[in-house]
Amino acid sequence: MATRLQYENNSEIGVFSKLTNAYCLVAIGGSENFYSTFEAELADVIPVVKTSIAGTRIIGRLCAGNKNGLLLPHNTTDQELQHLRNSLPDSVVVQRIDERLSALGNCIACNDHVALTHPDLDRETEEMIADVLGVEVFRQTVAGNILVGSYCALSNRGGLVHPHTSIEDLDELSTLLQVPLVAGTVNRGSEVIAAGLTVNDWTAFCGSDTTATELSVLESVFKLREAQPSAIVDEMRKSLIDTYV
Amino acid sequence: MPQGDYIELHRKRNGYRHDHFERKRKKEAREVHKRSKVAQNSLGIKGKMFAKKRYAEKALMKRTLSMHEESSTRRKVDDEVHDGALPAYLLDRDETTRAKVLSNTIKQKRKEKAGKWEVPLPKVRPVAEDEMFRVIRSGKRKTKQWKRMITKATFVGPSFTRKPPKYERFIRPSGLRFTKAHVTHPELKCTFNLEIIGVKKNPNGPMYTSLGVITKGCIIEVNVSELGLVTPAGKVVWGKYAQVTNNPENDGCINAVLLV
Amino acid sequence: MVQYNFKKITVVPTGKDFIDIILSRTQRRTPTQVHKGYAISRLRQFYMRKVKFTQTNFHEKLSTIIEEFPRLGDIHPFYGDLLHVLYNKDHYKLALGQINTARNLIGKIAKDYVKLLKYGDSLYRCKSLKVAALGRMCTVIKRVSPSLAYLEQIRQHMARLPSIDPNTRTILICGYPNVGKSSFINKITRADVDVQPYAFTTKSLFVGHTDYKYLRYQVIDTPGILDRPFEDRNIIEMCSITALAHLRAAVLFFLDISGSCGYTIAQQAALFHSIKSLFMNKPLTIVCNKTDLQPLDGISEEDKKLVMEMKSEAMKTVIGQGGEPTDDNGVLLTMSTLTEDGVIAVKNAACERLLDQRVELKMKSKKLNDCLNRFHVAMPKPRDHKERPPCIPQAVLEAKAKKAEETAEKEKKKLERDIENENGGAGVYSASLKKHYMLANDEWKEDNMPEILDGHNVYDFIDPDILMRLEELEREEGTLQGLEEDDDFEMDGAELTPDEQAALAEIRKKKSLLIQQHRIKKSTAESRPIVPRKFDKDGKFTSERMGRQLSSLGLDPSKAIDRARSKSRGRKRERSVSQVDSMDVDGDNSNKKMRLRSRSASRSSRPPGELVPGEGLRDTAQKKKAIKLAQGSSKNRNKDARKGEADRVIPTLRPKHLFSGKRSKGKTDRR
Repeated sequence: MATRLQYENNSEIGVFSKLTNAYCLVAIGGSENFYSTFEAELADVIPVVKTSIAGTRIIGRLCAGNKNGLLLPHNTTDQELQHLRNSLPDSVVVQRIDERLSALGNCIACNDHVALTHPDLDRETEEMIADVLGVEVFRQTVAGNILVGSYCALSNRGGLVHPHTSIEDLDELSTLLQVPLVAGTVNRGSEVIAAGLTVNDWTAFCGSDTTATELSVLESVFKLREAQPSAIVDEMRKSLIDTYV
Repeated sequence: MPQGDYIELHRKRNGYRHDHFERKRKKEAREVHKRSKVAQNSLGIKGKMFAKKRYAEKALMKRTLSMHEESSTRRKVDDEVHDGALPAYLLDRDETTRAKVLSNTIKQKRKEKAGKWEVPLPKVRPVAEDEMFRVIRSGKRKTKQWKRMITKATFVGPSFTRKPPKYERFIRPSGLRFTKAHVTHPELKCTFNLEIIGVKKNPNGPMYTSLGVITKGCIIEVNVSELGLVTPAGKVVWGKYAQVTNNPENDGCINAVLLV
Repeated sequence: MVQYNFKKITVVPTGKDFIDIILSRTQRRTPTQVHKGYAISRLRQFYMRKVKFTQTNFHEKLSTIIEEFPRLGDIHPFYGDLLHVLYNKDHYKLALGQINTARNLIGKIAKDYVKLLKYGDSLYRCKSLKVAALGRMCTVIKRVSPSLAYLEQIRQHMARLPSIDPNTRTILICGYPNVGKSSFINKITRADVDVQPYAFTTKSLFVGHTDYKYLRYQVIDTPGILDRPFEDRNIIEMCSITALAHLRAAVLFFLDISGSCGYTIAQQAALFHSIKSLFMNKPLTIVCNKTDLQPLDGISEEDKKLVMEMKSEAMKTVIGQGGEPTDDNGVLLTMSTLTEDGVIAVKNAACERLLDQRVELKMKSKKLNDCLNRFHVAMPKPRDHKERPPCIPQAVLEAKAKKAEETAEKEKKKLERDIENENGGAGVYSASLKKHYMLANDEWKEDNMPEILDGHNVYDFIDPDILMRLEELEREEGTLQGLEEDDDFEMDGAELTPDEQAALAEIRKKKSLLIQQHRIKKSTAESRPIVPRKFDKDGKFTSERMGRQLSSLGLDPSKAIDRARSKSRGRKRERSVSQVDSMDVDGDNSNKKMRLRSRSASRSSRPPGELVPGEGLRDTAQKKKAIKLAQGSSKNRNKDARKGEADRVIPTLRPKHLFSGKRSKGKTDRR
């Protein structure tokens, strides 16, 4: 079940939130609307935490995490780190890492088992990712973009990647990640998937500009309802052709 | 073909709102008071404009009212005798106006010779020389003062070429040269934009006539071939005189009355 | 993609308003103060500005009108034809042309009058020229006021045209009047078109939107068409014809088989045949409406034949564009808008056929190759035997199952948003971030943690095993305390002598006083100026006080006071005194060494006029004179602001007298 929402009239909600299977981080905003949308969906199951990272609201782009852990950039303040440690369950390892590329969310795309990373990340960071998040780490690009975290959204059940990813790349990435993948867009044709979409294994949130077609593609690829990824090829093919071409 | 006629559609479906007509009546009744308030409170040019508009409205209203009254009241028919009306017993006689016309043309010719016309503007304000001319200082040290620039509208012929500056005493600036005039035909009561052929006479003196200065009251010759006027002999009139009725240098155009 | 929106055209004022707007703007936005005494150039400039300003305003306003109204040649042919049908192209173009001419005329007038103003030689003349110029411009506008009124009417009408996108997926409904077209659009969209039981209820195109397979379809309801020659058709019918001719849409031809619309099936078939050229290359569906009154099977034989004929014609239109000729299941459909029988089937069939056609066209286009990857689902090939299960909490699954059972009954959770609204709304309410902390003890949630403690960042010292360490330390301390219990050391005033005690008290008192004074000083130093001792009214820093203090301490103050005085007074007087009368030296200064020094110092400078042997001067007077002379010669001249050698100067580089004239005599540089 995907929900459409906005953060202060901005559809790039993936920038202002981070959703995993064990917790959800939400940026502090002027009102509680954004937070409450997440709260209504998730609060019974996982903690929904309001926080800033490095004093900014673009938390989704600055941190990376899955159900095992949370990686924070080096410019996270002590207060924020403490706040997160207090708010997240003990099973989640919160770790601040000294990495030159501080927008970890843009550089790392991960689910609970596999992570794709920016090719220029430090070796120590790579080890840290493997340790803290408990994942296999692959240095990869998505459709020629090194910012893998920005151009794909992953869960344990599926993934949506940059619309210009070639079929061969799709197959290769899918084998690496061991989940079905589809190339697509969000927010009425935005290529920056992770900015417009935040997803975990049972729910997804996307920007309010997302069209019905985009929504149905992502619902089927992430298996959010009964739909299976194969639906994209069968039932929706015509609609997709008419929208894209 | 509006799809947005939602007000009409709503009225069609649900009718007017219950107090619509009462509101309308009240609004109309209030209108008078509002208007008077505006009239009393507007100042300056706004007030003047408002008063003028209101006056025109009232005059129109009065006229229509009186017209309505006129149609209802019975009046004695009082037909006026037109100029040149003939009694019935003379109607069938053919009047010879020919002689009259001839004498008219002779008269005209005489007048022309004498250089006097009956003109719409018999008298004009004399224009002083220092108003007409501006002194131009020339020479290397700007000490010589023998050049004059004409500050009024002028007419120069199409083949005019300036003299060399050394000999040019009167300068007629090209910005003030005019070639066309708005000429009103007094009987047809319509105005034409006609080409000027020449300046016949400037009331301020023969020098100005020769310079082609056009001031108020000046007689100019205009090209009336467009009008298709015909002489009594049946020839098409080409040039005709007209008198300038405005100050061309102030208005930026020449208005004239055709002399017939 | 061109969006046709005629709602944004600015209002066209009437001729009179136009003039009022422009003239009042000129009055407001150009200077108004002018006097006879001004220089003529200034007067000219003043009035020229008015004329030019008025002209630019006219130009601007007229240009917006000309630019904002759509050019019939440039817009989509559908809109071009529609506007032609509604407003008559010639009239429309003429009106715009007149506006354009007016704009040019005004420009010319302004140019002429600015030229004339250059020759203006008095305030009166300039002013009358300006008046004439503005008057003529206004006259020009007055002449085009009928065009302006016409354009304003068109604008109002255009703003209310439905926004039809000619390129998107469109379903077009057409047919005779009163066959149920509007009822159908009301059924499948939210257009809310007026439905009445008489012909030509719909007088214009109406638009609604419907969804089918994640896509949005634009449904256009057209006015009814009568079967008559093209030239006789009225504007209302022509709207339909325009839409049929120019929109690439799925066409639904409505057929009233009951005949309750007032036209027989034969008449409707005739219409169909006369306009079938408009259906070319469009997926056409024939919809038999009002089956509640008359089922399709119940109509007479010849009517049936007519219907079948139409069906075969409709099939041909599809064949014409290379579609599947055998597929006839979407061509003839029956429905009843009254009972809603088959309405959805009709909609679906039309959408499906339109989609098929569009997809087929698009499959041929080259652009498809760029998007192929987007219709591909990459399924993973297993690369190892590791299980990678999804991680969905049990609660979610339960909630899902529960939801499936009872969807309606679910008490609403109180969200943060509700709390916010109860507490004054956004911007007023500030939620606590600590509310959901997961700590061992809930009471700890609101505890304040210091960031910096004793100059150290607390967080640097946070240690996971701090508790263990603390325990260790406490244990250690416990043992230490046990040791120190017996020899307790204590420092207090008990074992001091009274003298010592007094001294201690004194010291402490003084210390506290000093601290106090320092604080006062510090606090005042910032805000108040420092008062020089001269103005020290309290007499705080006098030598007397110093003396008092010193004597209270049991010291002899005289020497110190004297030294202070000697410093402030300087030594001059002392010196002269010593010269005049050495007997007056006071006893304190009796130190021989000091005395000697002071004397030698006094001798070092002589009165200037004193004669010194060996200088070569006769007497004192001569020497004084010499000194005076010397001073005079070395004295700086008072220059009275005259040019000096330090002043910046530009020399005559090529002095005229050396470089001009005939050169019969002398040299180039010496004449």
